[in-house]
Amino acid sequence: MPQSSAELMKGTLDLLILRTLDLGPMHGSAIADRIAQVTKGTFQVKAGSLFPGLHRLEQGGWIRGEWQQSADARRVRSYELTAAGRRQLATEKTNWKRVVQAMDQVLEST
Amino acid sequence: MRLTAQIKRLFHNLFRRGELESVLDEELNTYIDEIAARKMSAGMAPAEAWRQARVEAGGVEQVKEEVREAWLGNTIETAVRDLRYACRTLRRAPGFTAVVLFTLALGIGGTVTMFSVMNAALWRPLPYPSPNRIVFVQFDARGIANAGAAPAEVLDLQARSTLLEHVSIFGGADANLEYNGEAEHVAAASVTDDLLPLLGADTAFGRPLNSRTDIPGMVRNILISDSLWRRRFGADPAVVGREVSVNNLPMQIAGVLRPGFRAYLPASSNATENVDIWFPSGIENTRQYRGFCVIARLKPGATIAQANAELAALGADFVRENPDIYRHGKLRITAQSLQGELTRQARPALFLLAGAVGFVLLIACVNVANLMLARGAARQRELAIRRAMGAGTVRLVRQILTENLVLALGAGAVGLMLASVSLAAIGKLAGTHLPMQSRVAIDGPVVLFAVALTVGVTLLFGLLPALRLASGRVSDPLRAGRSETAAPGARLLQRGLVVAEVALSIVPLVCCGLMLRTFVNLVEAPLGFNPAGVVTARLPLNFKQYPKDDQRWPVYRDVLARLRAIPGVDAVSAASPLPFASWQVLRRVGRAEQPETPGIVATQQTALHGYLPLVGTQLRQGRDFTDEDIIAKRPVVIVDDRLAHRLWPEGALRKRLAIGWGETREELEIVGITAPVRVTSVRDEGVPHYFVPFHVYAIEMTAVIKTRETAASLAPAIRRAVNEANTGRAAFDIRPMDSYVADSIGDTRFLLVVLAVFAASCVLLASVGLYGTLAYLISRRTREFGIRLALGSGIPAIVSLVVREGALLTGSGAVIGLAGALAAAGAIRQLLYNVAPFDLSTLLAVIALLALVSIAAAAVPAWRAARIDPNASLRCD
Repeated sequence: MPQSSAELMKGTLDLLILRTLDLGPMHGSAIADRIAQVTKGTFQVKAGSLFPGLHRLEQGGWIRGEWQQSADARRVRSYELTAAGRRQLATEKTNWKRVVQAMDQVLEST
Repeated sequence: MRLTAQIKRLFHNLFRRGELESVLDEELNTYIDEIAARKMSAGMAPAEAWRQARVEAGGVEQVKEEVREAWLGNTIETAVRDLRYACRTLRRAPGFTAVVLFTLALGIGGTVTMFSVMNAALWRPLPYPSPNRIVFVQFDARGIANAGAAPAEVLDLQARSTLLEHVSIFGGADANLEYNGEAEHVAAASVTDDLLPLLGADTAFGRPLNSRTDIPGMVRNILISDSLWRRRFGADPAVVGREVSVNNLPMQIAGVLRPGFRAYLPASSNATENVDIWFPSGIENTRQYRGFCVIARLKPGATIAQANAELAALGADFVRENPDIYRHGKLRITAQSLQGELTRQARPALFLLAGAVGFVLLIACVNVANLMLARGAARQRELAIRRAMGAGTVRLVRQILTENLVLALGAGAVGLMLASVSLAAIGKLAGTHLPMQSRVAIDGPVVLFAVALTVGVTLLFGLLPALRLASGRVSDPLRAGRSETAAPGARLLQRGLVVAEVALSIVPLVCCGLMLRTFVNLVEAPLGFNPAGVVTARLPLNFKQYPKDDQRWPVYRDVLARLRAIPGVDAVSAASPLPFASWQVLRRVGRAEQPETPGIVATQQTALHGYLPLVGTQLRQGRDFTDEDIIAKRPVVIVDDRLAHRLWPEGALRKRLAIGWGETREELEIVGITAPVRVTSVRDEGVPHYFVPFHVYAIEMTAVIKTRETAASLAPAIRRAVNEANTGRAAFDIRPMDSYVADSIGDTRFLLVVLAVFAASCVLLASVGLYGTLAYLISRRTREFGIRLALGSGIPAIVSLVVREGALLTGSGAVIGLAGALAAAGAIRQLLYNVAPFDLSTLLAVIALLALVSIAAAAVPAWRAARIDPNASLRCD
């Protein structure tokens, strides 16, 4: 499976995390699971990129981490979007769509 | 993210590291726990599940390290990256970087230089105890402003003034110090006991001056400076009580002043900053002569206004009590702060220079603003691309901020170097024309001000494009590149800035032109004598050796004969004081038959036979003095044309001139009339002049030697000849006569040179701005020109389009600037000489210069526009 998972482009991980957290507060492994689930295993986010990504977004003020009890009564650090994060998500979404469009045009032009 | 939040986070990251680390530890542990638990519930053995969980996580320590980088990443690393990027982009645009650096450095350097000078000269308090309470007391008497005090007036002030204390007098003097068989010429001052305590000049050891112990006939006590003590006495503490010979008189060293004391005293006192020997001076009870400089201290609680009221009343009292003495004109006594008096003369010139440097700084700022705008416009696409690639507004703004800070700080550094170089140059150039020049040093607050201003300007105009971008749509500039027209708003702003630059540069240019004409007028002013090829040497006599006037004349005749025998010497005579020497003799003169009419003020010079032809003073009527006049003690005088005309419009020859000083009155017969002679200053046209023979006013003479040799090459022979003549004192101040003239217009020359540098900077900066803007606008219109050419427009039409643009900018700038220049010229009226503030030829010259500069600035862009290849221009982006 790791072989078939796509290389994440730089900057797209942030967008993925923000989008995932837009659904509701989540802790680290849940975020990774959710991304894998939604992309049907295309994006396997590992700890080595997940946690730096989370902390980078937290430093940027876009998400906020808090200790909470998980469903199975363990202490987990759960993250939620901040207002700035929501705005950032919107901008990045637009940007991303534009890039995708542009790429499409390039790739599909004859 | 807001900057404050970012800074808060940076501190949090740096100083609450432990907390963050434990959070991270726990977070990672729960993550691995969870993965392992998942594997175990899938039936994996616990040990294997843990191992695989760790492997999948990719090594706990590596993950931690990467998270730590993320913590720092947002702050320091970005800053470093910005800095590196800034340096790279600046290096990639060397022309832009160099011009901005140079422009800002010029502005900063000039401002720091000028305001450092002004702070030292005008504003920094004098290094004396409560300096704002020290006042200079001015005596205007017999119609002469600042004539100095008569000794008895000082005694009266000491006794009667209730608001002034420590009323002291001082006067500069030359001293010939002899110690251990070695003679040295040093600066000295003669002061009353209170003066040094008033200025806070304590003795390092020994006792202060005390004139009461100086009973005539006894050995006098002196104080010496710290530097003389170190130089001549090897810093020997046992120097107190030692006897030295000063001006051939035995004197005893009473004490040594503390190191670093400098005497900042008005120029009229003849005292220099570095006085080496302080003589105690008593005050005679007489009103027969005047000329003493007086300073005093306001008593606690007294104001200058109150002191002036009291002095006015005391002056009126003096006149009432001594009607005979003050019968010619009133006595007016006024007080003003010592610092005000010290800086009075230099102030207008310094303010003019400060104004000029202000213009340099303004133009520099406008120039940089313009360059920044042009560059910003050129970078719109770069920024837009970076933004499209995901860079946030804050990120872009911060990066541009960094770039501009690097520029401004670099310019600040270069500017400071420039300032220290130019301060050294000003030190050399200003000579003695700058008050308190020894205090001039680069000034901290001024540096801060100049750097803050330029940083502000670069940031403001550097950020404009970025901010404009932030507010606009990302794709606009990307598209704009193709249609190739800059936003009309930006073009208007840029044109406006160029017009402002041209206008601003005209003002210092016109001032400089007026000063240049002033200087030329001063150089060409008819002095009434020709100093070229004349070497002068002051010839002091040992007055103890030759106590009587009758004895001195033969000594001088002997000295002159010996000087005449030196090879290379054409003619020799003597006079005193020399024209434009710092000390001059002013007298009131009138018609002898009208003793009641108050006379006119004139300058007096003692001259020997042959002086007039030697210095080329034209004798219009009558004859020169002869040696027989002296031997026979004939009461004769030679007056200049102005004096003759004012007193005897009908013809002055053979008339009797009355010279009154104090209560004595001398009547002399006019035997010669010369062309007008100026001796107080080149500018001073109004004061008439007359010459008296040696026996009428026998003072220390100065030899004038007509020669083709230089002063330096002649000096040893002159010293030897004087020594052989047994005058008892050495000749000194051997220098060309024209150096006195040069000194007397030195302040104007200083002003002119510095002003010229500033004006040239302004023109240079304005032309760079004009060139840059035209070049930029044309580069933006390459496509348009290409279309015009393709459609059949001729090259001349394109060139004329560019030139018209340049002419329009220069023209509108010139019109605005001339209005400002006329106002400025009116303000500097008092610095001018024989030039009207609205001098047409100066204005025309300035306009011609600007036209020339603007043509030159427009030529290159116009040439480039003419060479546009229509084909290429339509294809380029």
